[in-house]
Amino acid sequence: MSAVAQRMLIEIRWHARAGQGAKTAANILAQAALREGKYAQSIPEFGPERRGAPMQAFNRLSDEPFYMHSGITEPHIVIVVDPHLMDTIPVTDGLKPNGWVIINTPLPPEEAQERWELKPYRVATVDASSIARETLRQDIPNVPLLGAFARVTGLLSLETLQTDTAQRLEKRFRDRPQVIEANLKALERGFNEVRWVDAKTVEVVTEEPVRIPTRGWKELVEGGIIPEPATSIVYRTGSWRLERPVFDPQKCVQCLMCWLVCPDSAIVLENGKVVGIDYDHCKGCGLCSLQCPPKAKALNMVLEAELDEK
Amino acid sequence: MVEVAKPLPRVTEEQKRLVALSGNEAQAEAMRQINPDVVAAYPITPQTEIVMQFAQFVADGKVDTEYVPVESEHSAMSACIGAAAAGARAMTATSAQGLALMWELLYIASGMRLPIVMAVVARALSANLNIHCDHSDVMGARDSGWIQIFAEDPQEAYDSLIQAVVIAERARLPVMVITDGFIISHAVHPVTVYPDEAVREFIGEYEPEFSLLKVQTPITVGPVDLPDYYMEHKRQQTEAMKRAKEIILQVGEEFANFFGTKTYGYMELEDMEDAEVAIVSIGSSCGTVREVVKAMRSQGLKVGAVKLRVFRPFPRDELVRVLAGVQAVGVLDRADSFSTMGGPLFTEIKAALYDILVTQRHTTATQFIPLGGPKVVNYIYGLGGRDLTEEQVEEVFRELFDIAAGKQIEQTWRYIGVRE
Repeated sequence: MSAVAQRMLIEIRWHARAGQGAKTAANILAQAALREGKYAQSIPEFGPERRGAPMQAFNRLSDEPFYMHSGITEPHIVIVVDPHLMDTIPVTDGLKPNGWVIINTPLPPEEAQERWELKPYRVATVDASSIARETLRQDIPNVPLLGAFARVTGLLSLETLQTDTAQRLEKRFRDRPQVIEANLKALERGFNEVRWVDAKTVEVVTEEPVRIPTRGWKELVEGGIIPEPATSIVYRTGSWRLERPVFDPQKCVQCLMCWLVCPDSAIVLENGKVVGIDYDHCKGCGLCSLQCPPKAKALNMVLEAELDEK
Repeated sequence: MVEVAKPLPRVTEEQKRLVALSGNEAQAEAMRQINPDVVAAYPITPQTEIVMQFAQFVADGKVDTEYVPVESEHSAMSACIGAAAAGARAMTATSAQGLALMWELLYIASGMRLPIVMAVVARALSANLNIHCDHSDVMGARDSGWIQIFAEDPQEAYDSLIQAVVIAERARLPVMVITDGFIISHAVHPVTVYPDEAVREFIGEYEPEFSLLKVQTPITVGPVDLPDYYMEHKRQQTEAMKRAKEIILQVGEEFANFFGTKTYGYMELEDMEDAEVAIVSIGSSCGTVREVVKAMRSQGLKVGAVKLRVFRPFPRDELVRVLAGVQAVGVLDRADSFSTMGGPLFTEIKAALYDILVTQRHTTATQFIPLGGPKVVNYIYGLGGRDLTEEQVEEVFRELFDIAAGKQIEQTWRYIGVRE
């Protein structure tokens, strides 16, 4: 084992969708760690993605000062803010054996471990979205997830997280103390309601994760020119979707307004008629549904989460 | 020894015309003969005459060029980038603040690998406001990915601008041809010009591999390049520069064979075979230095001069080979880097020599440098158009002899003609 790998340093990776607050959660985690006298980093990752696109954020924690600024590829802990990512993103990529996978899901940890093949890892689950909806009145799962993180890892105390959260929100919500109360409650419920199981095997799954093949400078077209059209089709932006338009061919009057307004050419036509949606590329913006004539109502937006439950 | 007869140049002496032209006029004439598809430019002293005269050619119907009178140099380079991406032969010209205003576009032109050709008439950068020559504008652009060719006089400017079109298109890199503001741009010299048809035949038709106007084969240019690919594309640019080194020599030779001129390369040497001390310089000062070399040689002093024509790509190995046997080298910089360790030409030449020395110490391979190598001293001169006289150059040579003989110097860079 390399000297670097033996160092007492905890590395954390958050998996979420842009807009779900993972970057903020990583910042809160670092802030709370500093309050406890630890050294901490919170590292965001920026790209061209928009709201709904899968994203990552990172933390480093240690009792001793550290100064590296490199990326994190072999974390000890993975926190999954959006459970739908479990099926599309290799969240355990590089995760150390016996590391933690903390997932926002109503599934019990045993079932999650089984379903997503997480046997070499410790798995914790908490229904953070439900807790958030009940306490904060909106789906901000990062707050209860921080509570769950404190409980299962023992790296932070619930009190520190609560003190820190209260201080952070005090200025903005001075006139609405109930908001601060709700946040403290969400943290506490995440802390109390998280359930976990140990790793079932010490055997490390050494399956190489699927990566997009990259080419060397000798193989690339010079100047970054993309010498063929419509290459963005290989980039499946459908995974960004939170809501999905569901098409009802019986009600469609074939006005083609949806086809006209779709920014991603995701309305599929056959012989000039709408026949369905290209879900590999539909980002779920809802423009088609808005444009669909109210009398027809052939395109209706449905939450992806609700479809999953069915 | 059997001498192989050199083929006669394509252009005969009778077809050439000897005329009196300023640097700007010579470059405008070259542009007329090149007849680019698009010229987008904005006037700035001392370059203005080039695009002014060219605009007249457009107005008089002497060229087929689409002339875009833009509202700034930023737009001038932007329009050239658009035109070049569309597959056009695009040219412009600028100086000083104009070049500075183009800055971000310079990197876009080279990053997109567009063969834009630009005449830069070198001028000092403000502040304080100064319209006269130095190299602070072009030296600032030295890492922008453009090929940089310095012309000593109007003839070289004319010849180099024609060559630049071919070099740019073969290397898929933008090229700056640089002349010294006023000293060359506004001074009239004898210039041999070639027939229009000959110039057009030499540069040929431009057939880009990729262009936006080839609508049957759509492409994307200038896409987002994240950490997973950006570095590979930058690496390609270095490789393109490496290739450009060969292309510059090829085109220089083809040009000589075609027009019956001297053979243009990376540099020109004056009495370097047995020189004990030497001066390296670029631009118009090279002629002044050469005259001093001739005068001092007539007194039996073993002085030599290197005129560096191509600064980007930097001909490291060739320079080292030339300077290896010299005892002391004076590098003349017409720009300061304010690094407190000398001007840009100096630091690069010194770095080039150091590299070879270090290699030698740790290998047993036969090297062309004697142990110790030459002493290298920097002379910063001519900022904001201050004159460089022959007497001053002779002083430099005499100091170099002293340094070669072991005279201790406090610092390796100094200024010519600055008042204390």
